[in-house]
Amino acid sequence: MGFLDRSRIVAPPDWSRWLVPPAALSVHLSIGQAYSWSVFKAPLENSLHLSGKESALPFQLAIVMLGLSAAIFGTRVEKNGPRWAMFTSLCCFASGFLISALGALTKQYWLVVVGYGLVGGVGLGIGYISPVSTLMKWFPDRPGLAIGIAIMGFGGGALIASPWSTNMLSAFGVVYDKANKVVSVADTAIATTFLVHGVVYALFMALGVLLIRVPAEGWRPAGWVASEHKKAMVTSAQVSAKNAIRTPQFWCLWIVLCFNVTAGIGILERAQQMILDFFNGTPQQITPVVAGGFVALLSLANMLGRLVWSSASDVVGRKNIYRFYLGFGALMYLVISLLTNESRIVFILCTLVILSFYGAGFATVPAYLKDLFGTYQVGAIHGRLLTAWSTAGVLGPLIVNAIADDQKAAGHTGPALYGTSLHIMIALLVIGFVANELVRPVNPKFHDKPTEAKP
Amino acid sequence: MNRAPLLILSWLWVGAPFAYGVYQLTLKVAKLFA
Repeated sequence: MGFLDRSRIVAPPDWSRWLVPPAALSVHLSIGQAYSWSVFKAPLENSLHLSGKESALPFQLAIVMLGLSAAIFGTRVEKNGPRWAMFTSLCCFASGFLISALGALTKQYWLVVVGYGLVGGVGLGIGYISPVSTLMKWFPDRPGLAIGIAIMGFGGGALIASPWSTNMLSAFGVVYDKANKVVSVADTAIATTFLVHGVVYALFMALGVLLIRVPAEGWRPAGWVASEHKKAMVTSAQVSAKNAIRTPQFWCLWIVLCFNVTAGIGILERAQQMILDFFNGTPQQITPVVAGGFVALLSLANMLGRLVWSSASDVVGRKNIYRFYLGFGALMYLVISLLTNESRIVFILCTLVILSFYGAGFATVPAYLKDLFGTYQVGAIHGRLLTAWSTAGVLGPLIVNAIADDQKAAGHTGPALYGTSLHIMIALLVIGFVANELVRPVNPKFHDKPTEAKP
Repeated sequence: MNRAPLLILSWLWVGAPFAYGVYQLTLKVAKLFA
């Protein structure tokens, strides 16, 4: 593979490991754009006469492809190395935008779905797992912090893309009214925006491709010595991806991730409507503009949770931090369900904590996998685990939206729309808590390699 | 070899757009407390 080959990116002895997080961030900040797809929806609906469901298709397909491609290509990412993975992600993600630009220009919407959803979605999956095992090897002393930085970037990607894309659409001919609704769309506005996105993201991600390095065999951080006192939940053995999915530990973690994400995404997906419904007709009633501020605050909690809680897991241990996410998260849901709309500030604080745990669940799980299965194929194992995310992405919004619609049809209003959903979320978090309690060190019969893997 | 310039450049490369995103976010959050 030449330039992309793993052997070409073995770091020289004086390489700084702090050059690796920006390489990872250049990819994660880019692919995190996916969460800001909604800014393209209204212009596409106006320009191509689409329904809301149709305009959501590229995003939905992209998230499904993220989980599938991470699971399918995980082993190849491990084999070929992070530069190959980042380059492949760059090509797919940027091509997705270019194909979409062609689709928008020729008014062929299927090209937007295939480009952004299918081709771009593969870029999301491969890009998401591309730096995971490399960061683990560079930061054996602080894996939670290192992965937290990278995965925080995925949350931060939408923060950048949302205002940037909106400004660009406006500059190229999408006209908005005062209520931010699309009034008209110039013929080439969306196509030009997609084109610029493809080129800029390709350039931005190129830093990661050029900068990423793997540590030389036997490299250790200066002054760091692996603890002599073995921690019960941290293995020194190595388990392949093929063997990992045969262990009960993998499936316990799958349940933990799936239900933790379900609990968070249920709020995140309907946050704006939820806070409006909760306080409608009370002295604490809020406006849609203020509700928009609430959604932004949730994004911040989601992002910071990835860094703060994941870093904390390096100190308190992975199993303990998940006890906290799941147990305290269930308690926060209980507080919301008991207080309903008595206090706006308590509602906001509880949802912020839940969303910080949602982000943290994503960021901490690679280090948890490394503790249980070693670094040998941790990226590939992580890829397979991300199918839990795809499942939760369907499950969470389905539960909250379906129940709210049913309650509304039955004539209920306010917090009553969400009571059953809140109780279901508590139950899911309790099940996740039990699954986390069942996680034990992996049976040695699943161990593949007695020593550390090659870098 | 001195890696400091590369370190600064690479962190600026990712830090600058991130700072822009956080700034835009704080403008929205401010509305919640206005």
